[in-house]
Amino acid sequence: MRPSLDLLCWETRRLFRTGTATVALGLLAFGGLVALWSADREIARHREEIARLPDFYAAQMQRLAGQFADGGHAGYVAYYAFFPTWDPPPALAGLSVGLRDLLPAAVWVRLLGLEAQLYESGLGNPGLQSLGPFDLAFVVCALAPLVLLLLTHDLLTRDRERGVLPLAHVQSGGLGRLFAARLLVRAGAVAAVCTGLFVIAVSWHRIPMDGAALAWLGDALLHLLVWTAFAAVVAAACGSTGASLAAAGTVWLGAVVVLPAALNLGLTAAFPVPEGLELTVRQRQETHAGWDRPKEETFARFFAAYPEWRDTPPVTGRFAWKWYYALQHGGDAAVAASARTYAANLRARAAAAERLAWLVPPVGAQLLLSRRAGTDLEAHLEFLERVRAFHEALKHYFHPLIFAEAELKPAAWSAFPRYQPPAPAGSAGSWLERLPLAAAALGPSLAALVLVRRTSALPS
Amino acid sequence: MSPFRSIARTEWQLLVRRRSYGVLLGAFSVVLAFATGLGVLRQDRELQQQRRYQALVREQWVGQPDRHPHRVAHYGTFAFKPVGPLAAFDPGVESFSGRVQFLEAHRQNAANFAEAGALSSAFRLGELSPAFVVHLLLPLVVIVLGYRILADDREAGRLRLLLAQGTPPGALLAGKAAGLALGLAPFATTAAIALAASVVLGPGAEGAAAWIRGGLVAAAAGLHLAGWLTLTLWASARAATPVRALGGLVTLWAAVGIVLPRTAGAIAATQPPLPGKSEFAAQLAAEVHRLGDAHNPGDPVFARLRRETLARHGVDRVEDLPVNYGAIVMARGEELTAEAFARHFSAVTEQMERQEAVVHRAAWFAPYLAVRALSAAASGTDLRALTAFQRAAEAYRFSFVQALNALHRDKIRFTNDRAQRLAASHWAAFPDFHVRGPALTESLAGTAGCWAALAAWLLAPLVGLWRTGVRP
Amino acid sequence: MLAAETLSKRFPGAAAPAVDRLNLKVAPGELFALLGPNGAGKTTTINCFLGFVPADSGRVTVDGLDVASEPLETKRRLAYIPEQVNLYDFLSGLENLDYFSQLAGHRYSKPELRRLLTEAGLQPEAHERRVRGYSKGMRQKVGIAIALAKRAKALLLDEPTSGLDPSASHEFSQVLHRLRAQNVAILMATHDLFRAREDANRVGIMRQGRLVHILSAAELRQTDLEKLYLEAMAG
Repeated sequence: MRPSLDLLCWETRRLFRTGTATVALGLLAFGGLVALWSADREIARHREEIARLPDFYAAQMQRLAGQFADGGHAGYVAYYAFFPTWDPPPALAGLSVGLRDLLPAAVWVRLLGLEAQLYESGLGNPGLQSLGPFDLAFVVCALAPLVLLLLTHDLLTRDRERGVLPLAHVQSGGLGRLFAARLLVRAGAVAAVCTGLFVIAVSWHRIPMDGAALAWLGDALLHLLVWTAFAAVVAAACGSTGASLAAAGTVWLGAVVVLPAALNLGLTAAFPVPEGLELTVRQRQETHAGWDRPKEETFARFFAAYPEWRDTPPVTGRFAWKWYYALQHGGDAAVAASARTYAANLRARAAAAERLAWLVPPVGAQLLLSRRAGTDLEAHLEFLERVRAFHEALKHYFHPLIFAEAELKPAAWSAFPRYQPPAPAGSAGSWLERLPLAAAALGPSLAALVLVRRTSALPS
Repeated sequence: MSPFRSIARTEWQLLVRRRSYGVLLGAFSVVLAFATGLGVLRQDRELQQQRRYQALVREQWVGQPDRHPHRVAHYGTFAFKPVGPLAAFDPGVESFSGRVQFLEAHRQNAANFAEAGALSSAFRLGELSPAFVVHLLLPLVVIVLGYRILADDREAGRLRLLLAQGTPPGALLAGKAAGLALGLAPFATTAAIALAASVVLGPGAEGAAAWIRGGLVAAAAGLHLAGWLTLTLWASARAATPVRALGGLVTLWAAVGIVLPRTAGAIAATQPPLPGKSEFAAQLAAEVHRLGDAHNPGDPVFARLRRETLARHGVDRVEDLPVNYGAIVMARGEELTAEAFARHFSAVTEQMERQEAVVHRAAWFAPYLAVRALSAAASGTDLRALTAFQRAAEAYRFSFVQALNALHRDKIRFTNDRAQRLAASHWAAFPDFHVRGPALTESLAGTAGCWAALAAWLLAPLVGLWRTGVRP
Repeated sequence: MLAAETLSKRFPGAAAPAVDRLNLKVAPGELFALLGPNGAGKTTTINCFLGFVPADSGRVTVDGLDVASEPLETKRRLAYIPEQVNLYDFLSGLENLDYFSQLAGHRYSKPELRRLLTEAGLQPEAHERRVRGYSKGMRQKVGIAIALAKRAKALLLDEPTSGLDPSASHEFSQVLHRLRAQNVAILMATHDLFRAREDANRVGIMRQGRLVHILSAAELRQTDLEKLYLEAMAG
């Protein structure tokens, strides 16, 4: 089966002699460049928004400074002050946008109940979002397989139909070698275009060439390997160009268009996440019911979480800021379980998707690539965890002031907590994650081997 | 029997006798049935959930105890985006937009819980709705069934025999097209059944209007498919071999169905880009502040309000007013905020519509974009329907908040304002949020370009066929 | 019945014309055999009669009608059997015959169709079988039946006997004799010197688009056709 170097060179020349290969690979490269540009624009939008957050915050504080020129109760100031939290796009986000185009890059939170502030959609055009993002991950997962199949499906059938196969068989010293050489050259050409696009992206988006970036490329190439194996089966199993083209089309359509969409629909139906709505409605109810409840009850719930304030004097009047924030906490606490269920259900859905993904390699690859890039659902849920932590930090900062009934003058506001995101990092991931994809490559590879052996044994 | 009829009949026979025909029809029906079933189920579940929560939220609203009206304004309520009339068939942008909006005083909250945001990132390849199957996959069926229709005859030399028999080329083309159309009829029927099922079973569809909407979707899909049928015929008449016809058609399909839409979307997103959410909020806040600052005693807008109010009642101090001045300030503030929001929101929706227009222009190059837009518009699930809901929700928010401000003004005394409460009996008088989806005429406004693009995609291959004719 | 007058045709990009000032007449009841090597212009000539290839100059007529101006009328008067009769594999021989006859505007009953197929030499048990399993000879016979069913005044044959076994070839020439007896004009391009000599009234030898020799029936009997052919090719 091992092709000689001469054979490879000859097949490479032969490949580019036909216009089809040049056109197909050229279109793939062009599509890839458009994808890089498009993803870059999307991510740049996020970066620009994040870069302007300090200005927006400063403008807000300046407005508030007008309102509270003579100072104001810490609770009153905290009522108006929103603090930006943000999820800086990781370096590889420009390669796979993942869910970034759907989710907000920044979430503004204030000291009030957090759960009502967490789940707002980003400001995007749903008409465009429904078209789907165009990034390099999409090119690798959907377009490259199509080009690969178009180039390889007629490896043998075309020669067979022209009647040159027996001649080629005899001349090349075995059909297996010929087959392997042709497959290698074509798959290599597609992989080269994808790698080239990756290299362009790395220099264009200034991506550091670390383990995560290389792992991203590795996963992309692994996915192409799966398709090379598929292509080998199609090319070896079909008797005519018509049949091989039909088979190639069916495989692509099934794996790239129908099955992912069906899986999506099935999982949405199987794992509904109504907790989102439940949680918002319950939180509102809880928070507002507190106004009509004895204040001790509200405080009791608050002290359970923050016992350090247990010994503070009780509220006797109609209103006190410490009571107001205790109330807000009550709303959050009442739906904490729902919030956990919501996240858990989302994670369960993602996990189910991952378990099924190895059946549909493009899905597996998209998951893997967006995880490498840190743009998947998990990354967003982790961001929300960080927002929770920051909200907690706000409480720790403001509670002492509020319980002390402190008056804050604008000069003191510079000490307000600021959100500090961790440096975004993709992950190189473990070998275990790639196992399903590798397994998906193995089966068809073996099948192709057997088929080619059998074809070689038969007179064609 | 005329040549046309015998060609059509024979072509149909040849088509249905192929082994792959039954397999294809079976696979198509299964996928479409799956998509329709789950589409109906999903929308039904959505509607049930909405009904449940809408009832709950209403119950909670009416069941509020004696409260200060401004407390009620902050308690707020929820608006649910109604399920589009044919959402079960074509969910359009529904998965990509939040479907519930919290409405309260002073703030215009964004819609929450978009379905798509809760998805795993693997599934951005497409949403398997019946519309997706009919608009994107059915053309592929047309190609697969039709690419051989003339190219096969030519390659095998039969075309010479056919023409030597004295068959008029026009009759030959028309007969072949009719035969292919007959072969496609069961597929189209299946699609029509799916559409009808969505109209009958879909939770959003009501009355005769839904059937008209269904008819429009069918018309757009029919025009689109007729275009692909003619295109297939043309490619088959031109191509040297059937495999070349298939290769060319499939490449075109992938280009106009998969690559171009995304490219168009990417370009449209920069024409010009939408402001980030933070920017939108910051600009809005700055604008509201500029219009009038209720907290600033020297603010000209509120100073004038004070002057005028005092003058109208002929008193010198707000404490002497027969009405609650605090509520008047609040109502004026709400007006200013709503006005600023309306302006900014309009700017953003106009920007979205401009972006959408770029996509619609791209429909001249990709008929899938045209049929997609028409289908979503007719189904009442397009961007327009979404913005209509958002506007209605804002209008409702403004009206109940102002009604509460009026109660506050008239029923709550200025002194010791916050300690007072209003009887619970007041809450039931507030109407519930009800929004009707966009009317048919609204849905169809501005879709002429897309209809024209579809017509062009039918005409172009017809002209091509007329010019190419039938080469032996 | 069939006539070409100073017919010329040069394909775009070709150095030499495919048909060069060709003059040819085939009378009713006559069989004209066109000999010549591959690329001599035989098939192009037939294509000109069929109207598949427009002439650059000169005129092609069928039954006095100009092929260029009356493409459908002239086709109605012609029948044509290509070298390789390709039919619809998924239809039976009978269905193929029925279909092609309908295209020519003829409607036959089933017994009539069977009679035509039998007349063309197709064994009755094959009539209802799908053409998929037919041999080349059997397909050729359906082709003949299609030509017979058309009741044309002229018949164009493009190497009809190539690849047929000798007995099939013989049967074919029987059919041609019957057609001649029915006053059909036949133009046959062939490589088969033997059949040409046996069946034809006249034989033309083409070389580089030109008719270099025309032999009448009487001349045919006196000449060594093979020798003449080779001499003609040598120039």
